[in-house]
Amino acid sequence: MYALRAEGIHKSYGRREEEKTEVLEDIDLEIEQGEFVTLLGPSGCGKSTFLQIMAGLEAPGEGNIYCQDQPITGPGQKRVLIMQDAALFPWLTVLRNVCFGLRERGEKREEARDRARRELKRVGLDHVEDSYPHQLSGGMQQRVALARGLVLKPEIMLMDEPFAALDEQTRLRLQRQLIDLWQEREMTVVFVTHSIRESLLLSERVLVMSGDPGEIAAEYEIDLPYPRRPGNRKMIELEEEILSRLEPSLTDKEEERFQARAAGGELS
Amino acid sequence: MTVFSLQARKHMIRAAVFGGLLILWQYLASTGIWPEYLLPSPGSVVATMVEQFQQGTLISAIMISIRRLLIGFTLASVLGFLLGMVLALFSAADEAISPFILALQSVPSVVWLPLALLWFSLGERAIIAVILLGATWNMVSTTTSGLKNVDPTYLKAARTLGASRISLFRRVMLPAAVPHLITGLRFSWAFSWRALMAGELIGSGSGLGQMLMWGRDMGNMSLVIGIITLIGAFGFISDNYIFKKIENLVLRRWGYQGE
Repeated sequence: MYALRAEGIHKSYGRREEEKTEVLEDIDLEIEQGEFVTLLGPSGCGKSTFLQIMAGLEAPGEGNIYCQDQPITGPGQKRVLIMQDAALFPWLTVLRNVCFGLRERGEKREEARDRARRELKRVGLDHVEDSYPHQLSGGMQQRVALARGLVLKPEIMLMDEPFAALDEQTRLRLQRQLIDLWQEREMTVVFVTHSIRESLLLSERVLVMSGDPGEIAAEYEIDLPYPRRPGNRKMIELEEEILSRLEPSLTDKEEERFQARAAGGELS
Repeated sequence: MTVFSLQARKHMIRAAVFGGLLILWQYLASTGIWPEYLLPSPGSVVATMVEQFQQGTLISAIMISIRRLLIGFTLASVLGFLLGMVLALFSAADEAISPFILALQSVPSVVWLPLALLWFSLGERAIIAVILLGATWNMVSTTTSGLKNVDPTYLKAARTLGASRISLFRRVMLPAAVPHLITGLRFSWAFSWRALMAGELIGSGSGLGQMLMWGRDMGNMSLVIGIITLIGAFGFISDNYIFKKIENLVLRRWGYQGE
């Protein structure tokens, strides 16, 4: 059974025909229930846009997107999005941030608080429940954002470079924590990143995207046991392989653009 | 000088400037270049104010003015907030009306006096009307811009957490705009105070503004200068020691300034 399916997704921005820029071109994808998939690509390749479409925050220009046989028409608690910026509500305490979705669902205040406390404990932050977000470090804020999403027991976690703004140590710890959380629950994770190493550390399948317009250029199954260590021999080999795969595809595109501009007289 | 903190030095410089001005004023008054009814000495201003205070006229004038200020400020803020909210929710209305709001904002309060007098005739209502016309528009535009400029990542986060349209507004946009709204209230207060003084110069009753005009009619320059000082001090203190404090508190709580 698949968790998410995309059929022929196209997306472009700009209203008038001549201003249109194609962001995504013909993306077909199926993600199994319980799978951990990363979308890997350079910035501007449309991976975040694709994630927003899966979250239901944006509609695809063309094509269909389904979540377990249901077409996605808007955002929902089944598919929680975690962003690079933790986006905690600064006017609420940590605990009330975590309660946000539960209260939205109509849960009673006390019940919501109990569940939120348990979730905070799970990410090791029950001691800061009365703090305000700006009093926490970046890593702690991101863990609160995780708890705020996880407390809803989502079937799918959509993560948009959630650890990109953190320091190396914090990132490693959070990556490990994320794997634990994923293994503990039956949930599907779609993780967007531009770091090859991060994609290899975390996921079972890496989808390499190339930009301009965004499309899936290659796919790798990572059949390595968890927990994975960054120094692992096989991972270093894979890293080099993906890198070599990514680089020429980029330079090709750049070459093409250069030629196109030269032909257009822009470079004369 | 290094033993004093930057803050202490700032206060010392201010006190020195203030003291210097007082001495200069006293000196000019004592030379007798200008007659007493044009430039009274600081001492005689203080004496007049103390006298007015002891008679009770000053206190009652202040109370009357503050009462009008509170009524006008509350009405202007509530009206401005409601109108601003409507404009933020319906962008068609915003596009149609916002230029007029901006134009109305640039009209000095005194200009509304003839209109208010004709509509409401001399009296309490005319003065309140001047405050409304002077202070509402600014509150409208701060409310609209505060609600419209809410960080879109908050809205995205809330939507994926299952927020409905109503709670998106009530639980995210409104609280996110609170710092803006507080600034709006602060300006609304300042505009209300100015508009009130403009209104009282012509209107009836016995507020601070009217006492000022009475001082002019009596040729009592000490009273005029005393009241002007009082008006300035009231505006300064309420802005700096009340609204700024609240604003800073909210900003810190909302995480815009460090610990």
